[in-house]
Amino acid sequence: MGSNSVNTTTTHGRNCPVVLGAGVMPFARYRDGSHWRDWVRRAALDAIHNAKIDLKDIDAVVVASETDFCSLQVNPAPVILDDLGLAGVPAVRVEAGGASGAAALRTAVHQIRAGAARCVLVIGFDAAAGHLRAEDLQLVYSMSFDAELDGLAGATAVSLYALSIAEHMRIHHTTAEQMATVSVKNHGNAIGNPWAHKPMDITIADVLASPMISTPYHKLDCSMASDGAAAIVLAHVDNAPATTELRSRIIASAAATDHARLGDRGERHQFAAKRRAALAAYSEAGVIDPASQIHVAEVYDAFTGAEIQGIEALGLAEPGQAGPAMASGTFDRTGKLPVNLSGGLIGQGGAPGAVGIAQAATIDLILTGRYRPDTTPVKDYRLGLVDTHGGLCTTSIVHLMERVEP
Amino acid sequence: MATDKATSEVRLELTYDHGTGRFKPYFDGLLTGQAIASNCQICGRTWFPPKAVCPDDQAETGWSCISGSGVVLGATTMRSKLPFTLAADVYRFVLVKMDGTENAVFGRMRNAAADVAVGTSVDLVAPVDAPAHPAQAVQFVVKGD
Repeated sequence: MGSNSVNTTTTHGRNCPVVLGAGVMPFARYRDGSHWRDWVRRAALDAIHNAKIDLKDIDAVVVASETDFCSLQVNPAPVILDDLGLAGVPAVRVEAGGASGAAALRTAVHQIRAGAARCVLVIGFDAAAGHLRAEDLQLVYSMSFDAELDGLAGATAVSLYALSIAEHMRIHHTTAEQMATVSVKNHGNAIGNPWAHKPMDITIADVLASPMISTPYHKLDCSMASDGAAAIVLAHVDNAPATTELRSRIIASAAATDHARLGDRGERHQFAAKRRAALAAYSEAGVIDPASQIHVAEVYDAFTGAEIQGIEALGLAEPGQAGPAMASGTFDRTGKLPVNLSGGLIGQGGAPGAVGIAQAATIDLILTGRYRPDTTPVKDYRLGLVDTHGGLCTTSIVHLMERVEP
Repeated sequence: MATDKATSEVRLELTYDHGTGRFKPYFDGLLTGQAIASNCQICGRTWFPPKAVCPDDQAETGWSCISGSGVVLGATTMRSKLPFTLAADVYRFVLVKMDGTENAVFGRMRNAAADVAVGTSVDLVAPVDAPAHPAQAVQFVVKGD
């Protein structure tokens, strides 16, 4: 297989779920009296509309949300089905921290591959911004790690990510300026994105001058919690309506885990689970040289340094080289390999249950030439990567998506 | 009843009554400044914080006392409110590898202004005041202070 081809054999291709359509309730902090059920309904109905199918075509639903503390709703799937007029359809809710949306996507992929469903509606949501006070949300999210041994001791997302990137800086000489470049890029990419929570035109100096949150992370190095919802419709190729338009399909879905506690890891500056998940996805799709074969990626950027660590773990840069490559523009919107054209979590925002689904929706639109056509650089995007993780990259899920000609 | 407010505020107050389970010796030790670690009866390796089973042998671990001394692997300073406490404060959080163990423990310097860096030797100490949760008793001082 050549370095620019992927595993598109007939057998594998028929087992690759096709994306029919997606919808996103923009990431924001909603204090307008709307309820997360309103956001979910809008995202789901937009996905159904864009998929050009009827609700009755859906034969399974997978729902993702990270925590019931934000929604005050245990077992949300039946409630959502009721709001959509889908009561009676089989539905499950999946949760994997920040990777919940990606876990739902992966569950749907498995259902279609196994023949358990033909057309699956995947929905993710979280009311993470406008409902709980910041300090209460911090407490809830501290339980995303080993709550008993780390979270209750005072560990938070930012402190653990800070400890991890500080070691990366010590070993690889990654700089605060290189990390700030990620913030400038992602906030900038979010400008004009109708789904984005924090589009901003900022400079490296702005990032470095923003308040210190947890050394070495400044405020503008951090993503924010958002409200929002996203939905996507996947179908077996035999159940996809005939079309004359470009589509995308999911050609690999892989997952891996790491020790829950940072202190149990041998290489605390690396995302080992992401490395394993990526290698499994590349093996499944026949990708040999990801840095040259992948044309666009949405990478889980909970913090600026996490995008640098993620790019290295995904094999899109050598260890220690993502920082310099970031600074030189390799991952800019006009660079060799655009990363987070949406703005990522830093610019677009992060409603945890929705993130992985919105990432896939973005890649689908990019591969099919429909993503913000007025601002997206015109390139021949054929292979895209969706990277999501939960915890401190404790649960990693990687999807590869490929453009399909009509 | 109609209201002009777009949102409604409710207050949740939860009381969560729980034990520390298998890790009770670890938490009890912390409260008195003792480092109680888990170890594998087969390979002899030791972990602090503890592991329920050896990751290689899958054998249930036992308990042993370790010295309470360790080395800082990483540190970060942030203003934070510890779980179940009332007020935010500035903390110097550290990742410390205790002598003779395989892993590292997340905790904090008793003195947030302590000058610690990678390689600084520290000692585990008993908390001065009863912590809001036993996990918050992982507190260190610079060796010799």
